[in-house]
Amino acid sequence: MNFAGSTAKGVYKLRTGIPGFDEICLGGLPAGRTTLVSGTAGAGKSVFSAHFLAAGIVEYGEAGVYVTFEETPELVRQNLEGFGWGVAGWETDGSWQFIDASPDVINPAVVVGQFDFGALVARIERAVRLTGATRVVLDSIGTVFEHFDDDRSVRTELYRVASALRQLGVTALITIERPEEYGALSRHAVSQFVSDNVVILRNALDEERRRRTIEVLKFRGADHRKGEYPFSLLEGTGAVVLPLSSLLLEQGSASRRVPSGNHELDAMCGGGFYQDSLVLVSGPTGAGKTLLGCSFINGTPDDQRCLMLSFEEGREQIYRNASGWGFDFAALEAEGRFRLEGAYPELLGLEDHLINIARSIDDFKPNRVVVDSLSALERVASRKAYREFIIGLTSLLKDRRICTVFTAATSSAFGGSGDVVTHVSTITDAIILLRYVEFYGEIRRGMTVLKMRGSAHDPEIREFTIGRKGMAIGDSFQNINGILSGQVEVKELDEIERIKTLFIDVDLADEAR
Amino acid sequence: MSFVEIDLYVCGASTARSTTTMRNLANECSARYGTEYSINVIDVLRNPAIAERANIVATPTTVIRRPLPSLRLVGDLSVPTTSFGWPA
Repeated sequence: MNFAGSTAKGVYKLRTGIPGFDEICLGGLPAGRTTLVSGTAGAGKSVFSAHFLAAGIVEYGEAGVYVTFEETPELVRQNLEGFGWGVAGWETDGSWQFIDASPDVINPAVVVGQFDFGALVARIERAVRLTGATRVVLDSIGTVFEHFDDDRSVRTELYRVASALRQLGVTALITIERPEEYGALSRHAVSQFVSDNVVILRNALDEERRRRTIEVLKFRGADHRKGEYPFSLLEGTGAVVLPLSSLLLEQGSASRRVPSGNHELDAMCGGGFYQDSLVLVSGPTGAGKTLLGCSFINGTPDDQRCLMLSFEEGREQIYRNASGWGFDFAALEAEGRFRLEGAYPELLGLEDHLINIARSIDDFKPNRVVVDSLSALERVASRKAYREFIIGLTSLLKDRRICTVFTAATSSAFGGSGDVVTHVSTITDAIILLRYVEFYGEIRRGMTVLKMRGSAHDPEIREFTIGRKGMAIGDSFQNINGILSGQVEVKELDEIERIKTLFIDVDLADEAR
Repeated sequence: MSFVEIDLYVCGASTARSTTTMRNLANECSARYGTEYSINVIDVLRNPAIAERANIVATPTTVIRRPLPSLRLVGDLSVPTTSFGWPA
């Protein structure tokens, strides 16, 4: 068996192999003990507990016994097929054994007096002996209470089952349904027979969106992380927990600079972005955020890879726009240096998006990432879920030392800041603001580096234009105040000076190309 | 009246609960069927594989196999069983 160490009180932990779960358990489940898994209907109890057995077989070669009280083994087998678990094959090679304790719905048993669960215990003992199982799942015992209709006897008998499991030395999960997300663990007062270790799965409505979380409520005599963590059920994978790394502030930072894809912008930032920095590009719609992101992609050094996560535009649109600016993304992609992952924000919950992003990153191993845009993701989630997503995503990127450009839309066209900026700005290392500037009846574009952690940067607000070669950054705005606040105030100039400022910066920009 | 075949699953053949159930069942059967019945007692501790095949969870469980449809009774038969549809 795989033990992840012990505590002072002698409780060993058993690594479950469920992605992320062992981290919030600080090692795994208390070994040789029974843990209660409580959750509402559809919270993922069955998949979670089945994953516990599947991971035991796949990761550690540990056999498992699955006692089903609710569905027939055929149904459980079918349900688990979708997660990529070939239960039938494992049954054949003796690593997975079902115990069918599901009620006969056509011809239900009638209770006529005192009873015990001696037969169930004998069957579990036999299955554990035959397979050498170290993991046992009982799913879900709520049904037993309804079926046998005598709560007191059932409680006593389940206590007997729990002690038998303990004597067998197996690590067991017992699932039970609870009526509400917050409140009693179940309607049957099960804490009387198994209360040492409790894990809660939730599928709560949060601002009209379902949000799955997992919480280790208690491990007797052993430590674990506190609170709710995002949790997801994925096709082909099963249960996945996001431990939301707490390492964010402990990571050292590199002093290596990487090109932003625009020489003028590199100069404004004091020599490019830092390799492991998170750069937020904020601005109103159409101001050039996606362009800046695409320049960043185009500027990927020859020996590096760039991943774009697009939540606003489709592949065709991005490639078309990019070629309009003179960037050949198809060629980059063909060289294996660029990958585009697009998804509708509404398609999945943010936890699922985050898990997919983590997979893409682990698969493609990019040196730089563009996320376009955070605002698109913000609108599909509650504040809390969004905050967790941002923390999860940024810690993931920091952990991998990936230079990332996030775009975020501000709500007003001229100045002010959107919600995204206030949410994210403390986490980011650099902030670039794009703004429209009304100037003598014209709309022009301005850009400034608002923040650049650990480096000197250009404090001026520069004008930029968008043309066939992408973004051309020119001179700073002269004689104009209040661009960032949106309250633009133009100082009077004589006409010749004004015409000069209108043309010189554009000329300079062209020369600089 | 057809011959009645009964399987009785108990946990330990000589426990108080098992012997009570055997006595209750035998009384019930001889009152209803005279000698036209047989009871096959299975101790799940000695034969867990048979309990596995028959999907027995609780003990004692009385399975009236014949005549069909079969009937399952869970418990020591200590409560009045008149209303539980014993085969005629």
